[in-house]
Amino acid sequence: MEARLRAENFSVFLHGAPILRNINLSLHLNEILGIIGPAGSGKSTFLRCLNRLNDLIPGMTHRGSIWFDSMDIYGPGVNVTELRRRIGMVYAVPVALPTTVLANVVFGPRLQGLRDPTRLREIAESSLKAAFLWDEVKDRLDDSALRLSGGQQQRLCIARAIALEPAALLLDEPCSGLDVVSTAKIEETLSVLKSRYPTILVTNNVKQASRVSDRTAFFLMGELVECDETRKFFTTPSDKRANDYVTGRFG
Amino acid sequence: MTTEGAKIEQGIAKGAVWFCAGLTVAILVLIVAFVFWQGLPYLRPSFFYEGPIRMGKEGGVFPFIVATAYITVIAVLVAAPLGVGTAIYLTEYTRPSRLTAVIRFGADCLAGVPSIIFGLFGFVFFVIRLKLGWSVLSGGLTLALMVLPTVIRTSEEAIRVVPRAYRDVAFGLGSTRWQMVTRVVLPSAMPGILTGIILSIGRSVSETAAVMFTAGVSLKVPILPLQSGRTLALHFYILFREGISNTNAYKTATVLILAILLINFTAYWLMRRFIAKLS
Repeated sequence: MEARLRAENFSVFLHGAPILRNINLSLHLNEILGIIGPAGSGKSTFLRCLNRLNDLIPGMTHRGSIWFDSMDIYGPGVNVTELRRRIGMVYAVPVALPTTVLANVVFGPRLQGLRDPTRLREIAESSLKAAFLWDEVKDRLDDSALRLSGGQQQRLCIARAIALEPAALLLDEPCSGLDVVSTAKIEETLSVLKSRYPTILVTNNVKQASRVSDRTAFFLMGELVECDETRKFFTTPSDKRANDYVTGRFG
Repeated sequence: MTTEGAKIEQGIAKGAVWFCAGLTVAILVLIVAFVFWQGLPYLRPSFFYEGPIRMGKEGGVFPFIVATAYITVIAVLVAAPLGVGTAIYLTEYTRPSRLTAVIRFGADCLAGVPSIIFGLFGFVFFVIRLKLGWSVLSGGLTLALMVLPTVIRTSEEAIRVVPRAYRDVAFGLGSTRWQMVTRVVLPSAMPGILTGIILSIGRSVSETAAVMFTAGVSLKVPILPLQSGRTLALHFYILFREGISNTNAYKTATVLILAILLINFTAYWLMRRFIAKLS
């Protein structure tokens, strides 16, 4: 299997205290990798290491390496801005920037210096279509994005991330604040998109991982306890703690 | 406490806060009404566009309106970029440290310094040392220093309340720090920043002591930045102090208050349109 992202003995410390310990985990092409685990297990921290968003947190240090294709993302001379552009990220809370729908979607391409309105419109259309949002917003592109519903805003965030044609998508509990209908729409979107954008889906919802992910990883107290094919993970987990978690004995 | 007791307490509290708010508004209205009562009936259009005659005993205040606007514009043009820049530095480009604490403390102290001290400093530094003389430029720069702390602290507050999530999104999409600041943080913080600038405009327009030593008391219309000019507030002070004309003093005060009302109304109207466009 070809890996798009690969963590190798990767540990993270906050003011010296370990948050993640020796994580070895990779994201393959054409897959959704689900990451589950209780709050505080380091799932989000791991995700935010993959595009070096944690660089912004004072006191956070790491050991080990993360490979993006053949590049060590923590290596010397890495262009972090370029890295973040190549690895799309969607957060738990849908964050529509306070501007129009269109300006939200093409925020990334515009940062790149793209100005041509026709081209920007094309990018917006294809991204919104890919996020299954186009039909709902095609007449409201110049309205404020803050007027969209929560579920629509989250799909807008996905459209905004894929407008940059990223090499991978990172989603940090993207459905945590959404109702079942919106959640279903997003899950459907992700299943279609995974062939174009290999995806890591961090979720608090064990059922969601079982529904959409191809492989599932289980984090507990900063350690990767188990990672396997989703079907196998949910039917015959080899680690007892994973079994307890997915069967609802704790968490 | 019984329900009855809570009800009485609620009644008293409501009465008390109503009284506070009412008294505040009443005092404000009283002051403005008093000035208007003394000045408005005698105010003619010519007062706005004519120059003063016999030191202001007769004639209008046109040169002083120009000087006030001139000095205020200079003050804002200098203080706004400097203050907003400092606020951006403090919030986005450093982490809290001894240096930022010193800058903040300095700004707070500066905000409490009496304006006459700024006037004295402006006189010694701009007028004498930099040889700018009594001029609208000296006056404008002095006022810029005086309102700088206000601009810094209000801008900083406005920038600080921009959700962290906006910054994460901008970074996540490959923004540099500066792109994040200009495209996400500043637009969101703009209403707050503008509030600070409007406050500064108000203070600049009505300042007397700080311009007395720096902008001079010329009766002529200042054309060039190095020419002296007398502001409305200073003119009012001189008319009263020297006993030149009480009627004209009140008329000047009326013009001053009208100007400040006009500035505030326009600013808030612009700001509401700006916010409406965003949300």
